[in-house]
Amino acid sequence: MALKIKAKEATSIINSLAGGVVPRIGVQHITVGRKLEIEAFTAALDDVVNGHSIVKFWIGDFGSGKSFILHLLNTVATKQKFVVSNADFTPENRLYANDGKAVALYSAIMDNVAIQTKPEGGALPTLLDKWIEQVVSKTALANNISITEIREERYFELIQRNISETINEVTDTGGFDFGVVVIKYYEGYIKNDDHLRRSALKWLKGEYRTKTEARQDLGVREIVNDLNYYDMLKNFCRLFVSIGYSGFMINLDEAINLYKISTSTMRAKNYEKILTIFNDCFQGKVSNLFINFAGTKEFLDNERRGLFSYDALKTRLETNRFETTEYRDLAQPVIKLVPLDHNEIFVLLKKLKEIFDFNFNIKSNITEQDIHTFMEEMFNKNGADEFLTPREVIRDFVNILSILRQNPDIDKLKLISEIEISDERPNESVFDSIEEL
Amino acid sequence: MTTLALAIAINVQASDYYVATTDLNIRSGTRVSFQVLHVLEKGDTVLVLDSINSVWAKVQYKDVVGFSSTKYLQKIDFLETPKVDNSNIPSISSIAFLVFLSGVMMLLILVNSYRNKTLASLISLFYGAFGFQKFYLGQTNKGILSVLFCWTFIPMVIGLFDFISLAAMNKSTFNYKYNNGVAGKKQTLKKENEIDKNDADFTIEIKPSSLTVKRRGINFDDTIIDVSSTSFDTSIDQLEFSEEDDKEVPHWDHTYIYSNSEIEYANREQKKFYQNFRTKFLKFEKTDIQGYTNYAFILYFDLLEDFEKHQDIKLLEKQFELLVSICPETGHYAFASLTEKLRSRSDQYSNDRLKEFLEPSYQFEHGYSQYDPDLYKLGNRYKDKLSLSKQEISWLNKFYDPTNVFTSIQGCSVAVIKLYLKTLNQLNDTNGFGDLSLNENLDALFKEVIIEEKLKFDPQYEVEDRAYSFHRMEEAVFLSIFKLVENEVRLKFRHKRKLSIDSFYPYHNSTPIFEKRFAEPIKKCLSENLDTIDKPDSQTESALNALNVTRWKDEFLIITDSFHPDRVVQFRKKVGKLLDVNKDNPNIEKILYESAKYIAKYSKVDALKYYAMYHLSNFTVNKFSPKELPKSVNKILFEKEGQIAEFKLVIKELLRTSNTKKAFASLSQFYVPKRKIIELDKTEIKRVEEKHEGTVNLLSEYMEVEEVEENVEILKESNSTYSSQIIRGIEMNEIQEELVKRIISNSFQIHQDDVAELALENGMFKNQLIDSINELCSELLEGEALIEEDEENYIIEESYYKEIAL
Repeated sequence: MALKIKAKEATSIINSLAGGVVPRIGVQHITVGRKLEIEAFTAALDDVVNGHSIVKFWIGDFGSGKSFILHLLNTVATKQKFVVSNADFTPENRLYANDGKAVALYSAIMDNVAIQTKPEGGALPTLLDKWIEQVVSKTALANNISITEIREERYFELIQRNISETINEVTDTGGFDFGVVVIKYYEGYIKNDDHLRRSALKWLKGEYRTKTEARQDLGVREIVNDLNYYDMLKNFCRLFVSIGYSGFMINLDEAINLYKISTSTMRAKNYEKILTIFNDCFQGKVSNLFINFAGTKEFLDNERRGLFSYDALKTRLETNRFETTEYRDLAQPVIKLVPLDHNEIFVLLKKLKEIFDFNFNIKSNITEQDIHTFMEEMFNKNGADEFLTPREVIRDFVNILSILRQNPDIDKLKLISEIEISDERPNESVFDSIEEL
Repeated sequence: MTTLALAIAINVQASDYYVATTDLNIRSGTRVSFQVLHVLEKGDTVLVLDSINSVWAKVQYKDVVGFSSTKYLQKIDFLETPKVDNSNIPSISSIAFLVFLSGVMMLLILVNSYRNKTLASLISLFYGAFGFQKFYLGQTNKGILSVLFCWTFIPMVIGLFDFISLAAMNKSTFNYKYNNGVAGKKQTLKKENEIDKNDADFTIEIKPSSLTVKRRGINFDDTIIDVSSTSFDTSIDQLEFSEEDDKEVPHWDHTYIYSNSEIEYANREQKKFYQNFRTKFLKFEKTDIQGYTNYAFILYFDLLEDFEKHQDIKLLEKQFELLVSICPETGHYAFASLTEKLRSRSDQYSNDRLKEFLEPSYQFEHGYSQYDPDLYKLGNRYKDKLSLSKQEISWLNKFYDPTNVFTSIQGCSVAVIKLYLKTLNQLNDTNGFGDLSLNENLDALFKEVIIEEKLKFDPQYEVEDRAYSFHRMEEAVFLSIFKLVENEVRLKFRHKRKLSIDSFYPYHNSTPIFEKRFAEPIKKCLSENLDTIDKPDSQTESALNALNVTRWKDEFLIITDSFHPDRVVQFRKKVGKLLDVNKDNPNIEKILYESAKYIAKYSKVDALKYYAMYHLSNFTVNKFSPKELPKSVNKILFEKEGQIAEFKLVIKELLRTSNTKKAFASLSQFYVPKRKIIELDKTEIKRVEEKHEGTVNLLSEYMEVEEVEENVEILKESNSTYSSQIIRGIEMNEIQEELVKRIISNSFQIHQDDVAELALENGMFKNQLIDSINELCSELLEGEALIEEDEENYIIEESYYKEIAL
């Protein structure tokens, strides 16, 4: 089978995998055994592009490939002209709170906004600039003013009006303050007033803690807080779409942290928030929004503390009763990730070897039998049962290939047998110390 | 009556017999210068014919007559045998009656020395009521009974029966029965009527006073046949001697011989053989009598009779020894007679001899008895095995083997014996008993015991009684010593129970004396010698362990105390040895259990093996419920879940098949992680690959999607485009070209503000400018952006640029 891969993809794959992270490009070449998931995901992506909103729960245990899938989602969505943001739930970040923890999550989301030209996040100013430029050029075009002239003071009013217009189109709740702040941002942009621009950004990112402060800097009465951050997100989503992006994708990982909230009321409120989002998305109240939650099985189906402890969610998220391991229904909101089996890992490693050979344009002295041996060796290591993940297998495999390439004379079997694996799981003792309420 | 008379006669006669107290010359004259005719040995008996003066006496020894010094001759005093009446003293009237009856009886006997059948039947008919026919027929006892019970008329009935039976009896039968088989007319050979009388219904007279043998506890006939009561004028002399070949011993049915007179009933041939036998015997020649003991017994009586004449006890002893060697059956009679004779003599030699005779093993050693009293005693059993000296054997033979569970283990027994002998030897050699030798100390002890126990000896049998008491004491002494030693060995061998040492049986009162004389020095000596005891060998160990089920604990403690974590192998070896010597221990499983418990910390596999063996060793025991290992040990051994179940499977299999090898092999691998075999399914792989192919295509499709941006049109309107100078295949306007050029020239990066400035100059916004360039290049770069943001700068990936550069 001829390998259809580009050189830069190959390089990216090998480099990233050797470091244990998902490559940014060429990831499709190492997506083995995830056909159904990818299909489900791409279908969802298409739906979102077409104006629907979707919430997906990616449920899987340690090593089942959650992170990989999220990365993949990220990459694909970016390519699909999505504005993408990743945030992790932490003990300080939640969906619902009244002590600023929800805003903290919002801030994290807005901080990590990424687009294709700015894939590492922090693309919010770029996006705003882009939008303003769009509005300005549109205005210039509409009023037959040259682009150089339109920046002049006298056209400020005109542009402000146009901005307000667009804002009014894309926002509903809290739209006024949002518009005011955006205009402030434009003002700073035109006037090259950096402080103003930064203050506006700070407001948009939800970093103002008090209203007084915000009013002093920007003259607005309202700030983004625990209660209205979701509306802000929705506003942004519309704004991004109006700029010309396909949609806004928010990936929220480590949902177990919601499960870990110690007070049941607070937990319930958070789950309620999820329900709200879920309902909004699937009822069409919001469009072009794609929210992914990733978490462990416990987070989902623990009847006492997980999502299933909240009946409204339980009924919505329950597994299709007709699903089996063989025939899976991936159209449902909950997608359970199954760890790769040996065959899949074998294919993956084989593929990796090919990519590696392609990348360095060599012929590695690794046969299929060697790969088999390597796998056996890995799975027979101490503790392999508990904490061996594909990530480690792949990383070690790439490392071995790398050493073999540079030292062709080395005994490959000896190399394979010297591998040691370590526990990369999060510290379980944290779970144990949770007090059951 | 005659018995009494004869006994007195012999006594009178024997008063002239002397015994040599030392080796003594018989000279032809009464001075030392005279020729020595014969040298008497100590104990030789001589007949003093005449005492010449106080110094010299004329003596006869066998055929030699000469003179000897009286100084060395001891007179033999024959002790009177006390008479005990056989019958109770009857009343005067009954005596008178008896006299009358005996008168009648005597009369009848005298008149009818030859019994007539007809007369006998007549008497029984008429005088049957008084039993007269019984007297007539010599059945005196029955006769007396009949007289006594005549008033019951039963004798009369018996008389009638007798009459009928006698009348019906033919003459020869009658003669055989009542006339010793002699027909009336041939009665010429008849000698003394007593013999005839006693012939058919011989009675043995028992002398109660001679029952000493019984008291000695030796298996011996209770009766002593009084052989001295009759004297015979044997007709042997009158028989012809012939030098016929006597190889053929004439047949003589075995009968019970009561006196030498029984030779009378022998036939000619038998008599002839006897004469021959006797003559040879007196010359100390041995003749094979081919099991016809009658000859030997007759000779026995003959010899006794001869002895009365010569009184030479030494000769008699020699003769008897020879006789016994010819016919062992005579042994105990000969011995009894000898003892009797010795006892009746008062001289020193006889006394000493008697003492020797009373040694328990004397009879066996000198052939008088087939029975060896020491046969089963320790000395005999171990003399060859331990190559013991004579002294040592005798020390061991002093008592019966005190078998018990401990000494029945041979190793223990040997150890005890060795220590026992060693101790005795040491004490004997060094006079460890207060400067006395062992024997001296025994004698001293005996004297004290006599006083303490107030022992009284019958003067008649004093020698024997003393000897008997001494032997008992001796046995007690040595047995006690042996037990003391055994206790020490028990302690040393870690045998659980100690032997309880009884008080000094049978002389309980003398216990303190014994303690002082023997026990204390022995104990002292023992404590010195204790370390010389060899360690028990493995066989002994295992026997001891079988008896002492917790004996292993000490050894196990030693093993665990000396344990070092690096030396598990040694532990294994030691425990293996311990198990080996405990294989008969019914509690062996406890060792296994403890071992498993102990070693778990250091070697899990070993612990498992021991525990598995624990199960197996107990499997056969009924109602066995194996003890679980302590939780802490279990935790060490079975860290992972499922390991207990796995172990139990191994045990189950082991118990089913008893195949320890297999179980051990699987236990050795118990902690080796099971190698998981990864099985790859070719078709499955193909399927996965195909699926993957689909995924790649799908994703590639999504990732390379190109959207036509509207704002490009805006740019196109305002700026004329021309074919790019630097990038092939696309059209760029001036500003775009200018920007790319600037970035490239500025080592692939440019500050955002510069871009903004450039854009502003040309009436554009920087983002739009950048986007438009990326837009143009995206097709060439397969959807990747040429210009990316990096902090405050815009950058171009060098590799990307090179790919599309002209």
